[in-house]
Amino acid sequence: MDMVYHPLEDAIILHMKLNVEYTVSDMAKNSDIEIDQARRATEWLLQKGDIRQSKPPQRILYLGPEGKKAKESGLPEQRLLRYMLDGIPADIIRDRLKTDWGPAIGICRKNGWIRMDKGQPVITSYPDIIPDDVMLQLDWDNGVAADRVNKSFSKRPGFVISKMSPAQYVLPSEETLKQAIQRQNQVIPKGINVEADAAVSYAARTHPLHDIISEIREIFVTLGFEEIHGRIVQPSFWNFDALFTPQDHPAREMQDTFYVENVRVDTNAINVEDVAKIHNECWRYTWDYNRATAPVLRTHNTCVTIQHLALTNPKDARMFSLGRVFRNEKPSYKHLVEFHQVEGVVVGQTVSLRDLMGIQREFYRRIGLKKVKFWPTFFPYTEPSLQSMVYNETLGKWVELFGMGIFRPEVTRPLGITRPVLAWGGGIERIAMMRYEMDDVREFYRNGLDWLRGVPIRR
Amino acid sequence: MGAPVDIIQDRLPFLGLDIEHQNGDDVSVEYSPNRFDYSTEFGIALGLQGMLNIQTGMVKMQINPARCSLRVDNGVSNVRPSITGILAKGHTLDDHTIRQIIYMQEDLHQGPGRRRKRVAIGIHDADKIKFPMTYTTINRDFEFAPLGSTDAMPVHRILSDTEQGMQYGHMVQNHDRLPIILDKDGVTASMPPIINSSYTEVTESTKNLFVDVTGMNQPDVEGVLAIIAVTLQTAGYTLEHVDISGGTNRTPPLTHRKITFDHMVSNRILGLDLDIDQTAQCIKRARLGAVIDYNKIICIIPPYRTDIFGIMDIVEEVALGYGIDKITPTLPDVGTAGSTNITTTLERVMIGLGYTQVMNSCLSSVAILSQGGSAPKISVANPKSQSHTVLRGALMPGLLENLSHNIHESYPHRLYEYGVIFDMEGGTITERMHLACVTAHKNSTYSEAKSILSAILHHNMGINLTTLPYNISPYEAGRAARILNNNQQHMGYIGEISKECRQAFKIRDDIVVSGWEVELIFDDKDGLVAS
Repeated sequence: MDMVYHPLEDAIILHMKLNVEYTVSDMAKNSDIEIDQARRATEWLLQKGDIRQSKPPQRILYLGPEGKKAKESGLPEQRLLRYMLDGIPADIIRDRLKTDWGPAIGICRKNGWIRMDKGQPVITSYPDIIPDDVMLQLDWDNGVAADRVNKSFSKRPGFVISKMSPAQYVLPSEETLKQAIQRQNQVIPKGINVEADAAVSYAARTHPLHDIISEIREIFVTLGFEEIHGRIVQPSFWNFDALFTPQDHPAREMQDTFYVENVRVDTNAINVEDVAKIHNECWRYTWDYNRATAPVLRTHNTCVTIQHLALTNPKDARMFSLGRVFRNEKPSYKHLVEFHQVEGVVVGQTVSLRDLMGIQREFYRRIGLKKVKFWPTFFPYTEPSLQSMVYNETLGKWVELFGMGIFRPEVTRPLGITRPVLAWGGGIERIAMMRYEMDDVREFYRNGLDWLRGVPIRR
Repeated sequence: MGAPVDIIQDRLPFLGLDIEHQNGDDVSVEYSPNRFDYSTEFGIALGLQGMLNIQTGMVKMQINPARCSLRVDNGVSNVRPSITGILAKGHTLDDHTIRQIIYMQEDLHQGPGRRRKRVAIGIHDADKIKFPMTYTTINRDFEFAPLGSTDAMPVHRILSDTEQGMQYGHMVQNHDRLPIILDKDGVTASMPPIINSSYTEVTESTKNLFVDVTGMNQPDVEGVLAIIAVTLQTAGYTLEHVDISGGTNRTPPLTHRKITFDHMVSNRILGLDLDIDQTAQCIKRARLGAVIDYNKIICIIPPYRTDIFGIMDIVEEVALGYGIDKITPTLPDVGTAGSTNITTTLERVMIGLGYTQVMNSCLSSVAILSQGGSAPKISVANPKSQSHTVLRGALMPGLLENLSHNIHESYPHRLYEYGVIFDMEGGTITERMHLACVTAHKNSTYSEAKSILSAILHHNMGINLTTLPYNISPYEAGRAARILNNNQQHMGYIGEISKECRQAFKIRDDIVVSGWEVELIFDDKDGLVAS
């Protein structure tokens, strides 16, 4: 990939000569840019390898006031020894050396050049070279690199002043300069390939079917419906008997409905006798309580809503129940064994079939299905009964969605429900299939990451 | 019939007939299982005539007085006590119509007949029969030639060797003597509910029909007979009563019923504002009779409309007669506050932690559950699909199955599921909401699972969770724990999945899992319900 050069970098390169040392401030001055800009650009160029640091930044020492004094008149220990050699009495030497007297005695004793006799210094061995005197002879005018100066010298108070010298940089290759000139002459500066594909990232997400479920729940709540919940395993009583479905009805056979094996459940029913009576009268058979206790995996959520209505008998209510339902079928591209349904009910003295149709139409409008019509149909527990037909834009045809109706008196009266109840419901996967333009309903439960990661979240 | 094809096709759905497919002028429709009178095109024609205002009001049944009779012997009373019948004369059937009548017969056997148990129908060539007939019983050595056979066979062989015998014989297996319909000379017409005799078989040259309907009670057999009678009358036959007596049986009256109806009821239920005349017109268009009597409508229900129980059924007839498509929907005012106690808290936490939601079936297979270390406890009877035979007792097996299906997708895999699991405790089935999450990649460890678990339950839900060492399949020994909540209640498990289990699911990468009961997060049990 081509490297990208910042204009500041080129500004610096273009003002450098081959193999000449520059400090950052030199470069800033030459290129007429701010020192901070030059510093940044230098870093970038170093990383690219276009310039090289020829000298690192260094500590440089210069003589301080005491150092300069020593250079003029000698080091304190040098002066002490010289005066002693000249035979000058100690008292006078002390006067002359003043504050240097103590350090001078200390240094000489430490090096073993003198010893003290009754408070008076006595020379023991006169040194050939006084080490720090060598230091004084260095070229101090241009400064001395800190590592060349003895610690014993630089540590003396006021002897040296320390300064940092900046790093030096060189431009080692003529090629760099040529390219900078070339870039300078280019009309369009070259950038990275912003069109190229990047590595794919996957966002964690909720299941697309769950998203539709949440959306449907939100629509019901905003239309004034209260959500109620019920169990998946239900006594046949609530799934069938309470809904006026005779016990020898084909839908109740094991071919269509899942019965849980080896267990019986309490019907939790209050008006069993009244339900039995209406079955015996209208369907002309002997209703059997035992068959009503057989647990089934609910085939619809109406068993949840009717149970709630029977227990609470509300005067005015809007309720919905949403959850999984089960049918004993062979799964295919359009049928599942287990799928989601939403069921809604409206209770009220003045509610009508027109209202029921209106609520359906509003629901579909909100979920994005605009073309809706209603056809008569039949359900054992509602009268009148309708089915809604919705235009599927993808398929270009009308498809059947929710079924609806008003609960039959044969359903409500035995359960003590006194007001008309509008009821409707249907599968959610069908709506989800339209939304996601899918042609195989099993895809929802395959949970393939290729699909889950690929379905866009959209409304 | 007097209406253009496209108008007819357009109106069919508003009779309650679903259009199955359509090919030019040919339409096939599906009728609802309350309207067996729509099982032939004759019945549909009657309905359409009403809808299109060609002929409204009740279809009158003209039945000539009986000249023939059928006697019922008391012996049938504990096997199949009820019989009724009728003669249909002076018409022949083409092949197409014969087929329709057979389909109707079959539909009636399946529907109200409950696979012939409640009602069985025999249709015969009346000219082969010498009246009076007898409905009586015979033993298993009695012989006749069943339909489809030219030779006489003893009844026990008919039951064991013929297709109908094998299919329906169980209904008479506990009886020594079986019901039979014989003519004056003792020639067999039918052995209900199993098979007719070949002697009375209907062909294209048959001019006169005898129909018998047997069953367990009088209303059932008479209702079904009425549907057949109105169909044959519409097809062109002249109906003639057969005098029936014996036991609790009678000559079928095939007369109408009356229901008094208040048109304000249909207005209220349908949300319409029709006056009494308009309402009566709607009822007539639905092919019922309607007579206005002061401020009430007397509805007259023909005998074949067995689907009508009471007032609400009349309301539906008004709606059909008015036309469902003419009823404009209205959105009622909302007088209630909507609510739900479903929370999205956990969902948001899981997404935030980078876990993608999956949804698996509650009904799983023995293989998947066992492989995933959750022995199935609750099974359903006669499942059609072997992938859906047992209720899951844990979410983890489903998640492992998901990982197994996704081994070709780029790693890491982080999945969660939020759903119901089932258990059987003391003969009671429990349903509990669980959440489980799996992490699969090359180096997933217990520590990662614990870190995620803490992020969910401790940092976000405020639980001071404890994890105690616990060895349980399918976790790796020494690398799994039980999860306890604030109150030291057992919430679930966390751990690394054992190599054996991973191999069973054909997954190479390391997997760590945690799964726990959602309601145990909250002190208040009503606080949370999962969707």
